[in-house]
Amino acid sequence: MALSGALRLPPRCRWAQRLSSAAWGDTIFALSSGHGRCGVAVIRASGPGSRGALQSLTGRPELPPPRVLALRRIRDPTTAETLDRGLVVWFPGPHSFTGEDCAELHVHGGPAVVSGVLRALGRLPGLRAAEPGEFTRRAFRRGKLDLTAAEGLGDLIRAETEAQRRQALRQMEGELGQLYRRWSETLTQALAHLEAYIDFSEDDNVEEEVLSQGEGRWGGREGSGAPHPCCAPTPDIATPLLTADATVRALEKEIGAHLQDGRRGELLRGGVHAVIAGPPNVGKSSLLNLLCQRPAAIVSPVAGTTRDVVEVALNVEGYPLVLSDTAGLRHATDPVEQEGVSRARDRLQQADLVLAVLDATVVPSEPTGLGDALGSILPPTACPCILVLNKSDLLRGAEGALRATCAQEDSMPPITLLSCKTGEGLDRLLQLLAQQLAQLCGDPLAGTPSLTQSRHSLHLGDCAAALAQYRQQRGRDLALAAEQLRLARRHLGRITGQVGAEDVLDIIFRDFCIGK
Amino acid sequence: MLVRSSWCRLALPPVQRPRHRRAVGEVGAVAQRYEVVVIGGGHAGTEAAAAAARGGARTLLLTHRIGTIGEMSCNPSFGGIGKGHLMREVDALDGLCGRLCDRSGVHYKVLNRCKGPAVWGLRAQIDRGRYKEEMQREILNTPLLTVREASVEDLLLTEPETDRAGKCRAAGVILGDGSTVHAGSVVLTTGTFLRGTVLIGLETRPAGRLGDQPAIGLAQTLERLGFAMGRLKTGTPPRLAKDTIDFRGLEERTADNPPVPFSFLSKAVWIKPEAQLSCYLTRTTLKAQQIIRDNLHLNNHVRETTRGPRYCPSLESKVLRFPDRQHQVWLEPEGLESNVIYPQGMSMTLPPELQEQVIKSIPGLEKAKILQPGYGVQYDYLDPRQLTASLESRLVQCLFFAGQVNGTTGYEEAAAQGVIAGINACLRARGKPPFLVSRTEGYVGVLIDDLTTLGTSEPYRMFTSRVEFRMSLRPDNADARLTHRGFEEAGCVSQQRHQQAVKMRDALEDGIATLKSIQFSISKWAHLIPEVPISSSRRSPASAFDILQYPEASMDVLARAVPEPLAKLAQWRELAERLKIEAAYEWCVASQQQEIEEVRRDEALQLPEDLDYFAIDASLSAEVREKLDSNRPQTIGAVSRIPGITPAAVVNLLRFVKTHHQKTEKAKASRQAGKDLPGKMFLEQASFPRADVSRVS
Repeated sequence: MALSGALRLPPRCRWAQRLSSAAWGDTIFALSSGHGRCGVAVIRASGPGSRGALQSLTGRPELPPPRVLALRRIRDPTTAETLDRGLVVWFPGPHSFTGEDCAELHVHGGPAVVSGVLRALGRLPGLRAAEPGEFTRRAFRRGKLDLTAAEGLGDLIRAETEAQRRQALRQMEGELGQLYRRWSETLTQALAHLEAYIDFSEDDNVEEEVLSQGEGRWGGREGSGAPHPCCAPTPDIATPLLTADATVRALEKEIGAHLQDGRRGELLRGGVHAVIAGPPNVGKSSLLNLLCQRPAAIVSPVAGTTRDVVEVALNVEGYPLVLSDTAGLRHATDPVEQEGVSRARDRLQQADLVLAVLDATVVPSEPTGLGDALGSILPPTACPCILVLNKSDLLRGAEGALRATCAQEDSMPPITLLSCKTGEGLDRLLQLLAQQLAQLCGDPLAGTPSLTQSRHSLHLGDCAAALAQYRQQRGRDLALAAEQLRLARRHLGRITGQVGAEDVLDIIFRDFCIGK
Repeated sequence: MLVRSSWCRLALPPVQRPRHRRAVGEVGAVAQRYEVVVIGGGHAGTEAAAAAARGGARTLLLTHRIGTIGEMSCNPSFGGIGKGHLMREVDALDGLCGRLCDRSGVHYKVLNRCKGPAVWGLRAQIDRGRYKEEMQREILNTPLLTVREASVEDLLLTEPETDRAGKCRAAGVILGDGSTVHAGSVVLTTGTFLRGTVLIGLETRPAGRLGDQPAIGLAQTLERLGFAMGRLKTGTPPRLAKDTIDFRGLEERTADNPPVPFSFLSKAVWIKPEAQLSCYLTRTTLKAQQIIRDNLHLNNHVRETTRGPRYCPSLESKVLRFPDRQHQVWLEPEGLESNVIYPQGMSMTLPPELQEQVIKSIPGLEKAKILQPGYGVQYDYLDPRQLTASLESRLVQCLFFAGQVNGTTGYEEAAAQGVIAGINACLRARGKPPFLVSRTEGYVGVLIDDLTTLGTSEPYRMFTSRVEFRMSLRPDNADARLTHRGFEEAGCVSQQRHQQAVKMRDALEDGIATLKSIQFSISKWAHLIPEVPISSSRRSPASAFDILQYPEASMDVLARAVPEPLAKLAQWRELAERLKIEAAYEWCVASQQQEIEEVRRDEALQLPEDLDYFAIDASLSAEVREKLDSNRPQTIGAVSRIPGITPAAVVNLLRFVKTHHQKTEKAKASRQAGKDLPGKMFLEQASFPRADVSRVS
């Protein structure tokens, strides 16, 4: 309870941390290119010591012109032994990736050369090996990237498929950050209007021609007895409340839509998790092996061969797919197989996409019968699904009706015949897979940028909740309603960066004439 | 640990009879000694002097004219939104202005009644003459406080204490007659008088206020000492004769009945509710706009570049920025018997004959007579970033600044600073730790932190929107926030007030506990109090405190449903009202608590005053470094409030402060290890291999 807390404040404990103002040269370095034997390796240094490092290693007091490659003999400064001949670049801050002074050494990629140069750098005073991601962190702290852009860069480095790359690049270039900043600005604007109404509508005159609208309900209910006439303020005193309300409503809708994009960005970033499921011995593991074109899972004619979940990552037309093969679903008696079936069911619960496999030779041929067979496999929650009827090579005579059912373009879910043995029907399956993936991940270049991190959707969810609270409080207590907008803005700020009280006042004074 | 209990009361010199010490004729050659000397008798000066004396310091108040003590130089009103909060806090520290306004108002009104108690704005039109009289009576009868008419020409300076920043220490003042007064600390509250200039049309004359001499010697002293000064401007409207105004047809605004007092000590205000005066609303016309536009060449004040306030601007700037509109003019009474009307919104600096034309173009004022023309004032102010949170200057030890001289506008802002400066001048003179109010504790904390951290380029005014913890810092609970601390740590609060605050606190705690202990199922509540629409989705059972949150619920309603034990609580009107407010804000205050703790922690992290922001290696952009260097924040908390400082920069600076030594050690160690080169430690980027990626189609 704040009340008693305020009265019982502990005596102020001020512990001062005094520091000397001397600069301490924290310069980091690392091998920036890949590891292993290669043609060229790039070693990068960032920090105030980069200049000295470049001078020491080239053995020359003069630096090459900024941002121009220069050929230099690279030497160990302690032994003066030549380590390599390579290209060096000098990036004086702030015009560098990290915003600090940076140097790059492009040397031959042999392990001995690389370790020799790294060892030489490590011996220089004030230089130390970089921690993972430290260059990007420095760039972020120097304001070279905002948080979402830094996240985008991380994704770009890790991007494995074309669609992932497109999305990450878009985010790194700041599009997602811009969207959140625009929302934050909109909120700030709404808050400014509300604050203007709270701080000025009755004290001074906010001179805007907007009519006053429904106020709170605090008036005259407590203590003072008579109702307060102030509930009807002079009509031409500005009431920017309507504007604020409309803005909040629109924003709530927009954030809601963004949140309900079906985790497209997240799926694209992390890969769509598809689960192969079905009864035992229908060829689920064969399907996995067929798709990844190698024997990743053990296959045998014995039902219940697969016990654990086998996972492979695939790239399907640019979309990342993480495919899991699971144990066949049946009532097992063997405890190991029981565990496998239970794992398979768990996996199905979390699947983004299900590849349901049935044996084409034993399934009913009409759609309703197929639907029932499918229902016994799928998890109760709605989840996109492709029905694969395997062993089409074994179909004889009676397949006419089945082929007709599979040929229906608009069947829900999409159905295809496949022979894992001959590979017949694989093209059709890949086509269906690509369609489903495109639907799940969306086009990373179209429309508003997608949510890529669950961190974002968490904060956005909190933000949307605060906006809903605003609507509730708005009729009761404006101060509480304003508090919800402040809260909503703080949640957005956690994603990108913050805005202070001065920003609100700036808008107030730009938009309204306030005078005594 | 602070020295507890009432040391300052025990340390009193032999009790002096409260008496009026008009020391005008004292011989100048005799050096005199006080613990605190306050320069200036305005709203900051009087509060500072009274607070220092309440704290037990022998105090001297120096003013040009005793007759102008308590003068309301501009508008005849006190309080308002945000400003009312400040007055409640001044009152909670036993300051003067709240109590005096309860004895001199002629029209009391709580603004924002319908917007929630956290932003209620207590405000009153004040009888100028009565307020001045009350203030002089109060000041001239305060024990330990001496008032003296004199001009201050210079400061008496001495060697600084070596363990603190500052190039010298204030040890007293040198008066106009050449005599010196020694003091433990000096409080400067010179308002607009530092090189003050009054402007009407093209005419300028040196004056702090129309008819009063400016302080020039003191301004030179401050400049010589190396204080950074700036220049601001403000203005005041012409005054009109009431009997020449036609109020028929103008909109009337009546006062509250019953009026709500400012002070926690007042049960009621002095005036009978029905005897209160009204204010009237009229509007400017396009003709006024035309006159102003045609005569800009005759108006020095408006054309000059000195920064004026964005709020409370002159009529000229309103017309220029927002043309072709009607602008509101409130006609406010200046007192019960006064024939003067103050036209709020008409601040202007045109030549007097043109002011008359503008006035006469306004409905109701066609025949109005101007008693005193409006005028502008330009004055020097001190860049408040040179002050600490106790309002002591960093350059000159024991020299405190408060009020308009620090770049603020408004009586309430001045009074609030005055109390804090007075308390701290007293504590400083006795070598005690300062009394600081944080942003999480009060509006006065926000005011002082904003000023000392961010400085100001326009006259600073209090708004509720400046306050992060508005839900917790409400006018109703100022006593709970500050009275106890003022009593324990500053000794500036009387025994009587403290006892009253403690009684209220205990009653509130008991009341809340009682309300929380009464628990019924939702359906039972719905049956007991059908007038409250209790949401069926909330958890059951609910306590009476939960139910009290609903706008439709009140202690009266609850007491009817559960007379035992609630009837007793509901009868104590003041308590019932406060319980209702506590209930309405409980969840919000609770959710802010963690944030408040964060701010307090940040404020406990002090930054060295001599930190070289250009040299430290903390990954800060050049722009951020420059801002840090010019603002010189005292704590990490202050850093986060400087505009343009990114949260990342704050985190980074924090990390630098926290781990500086640790990291240096670590860097040394890793260099040592580097000699043996375990090759893996040079990996720049941890690899995140995705298992088995193969390509299909």
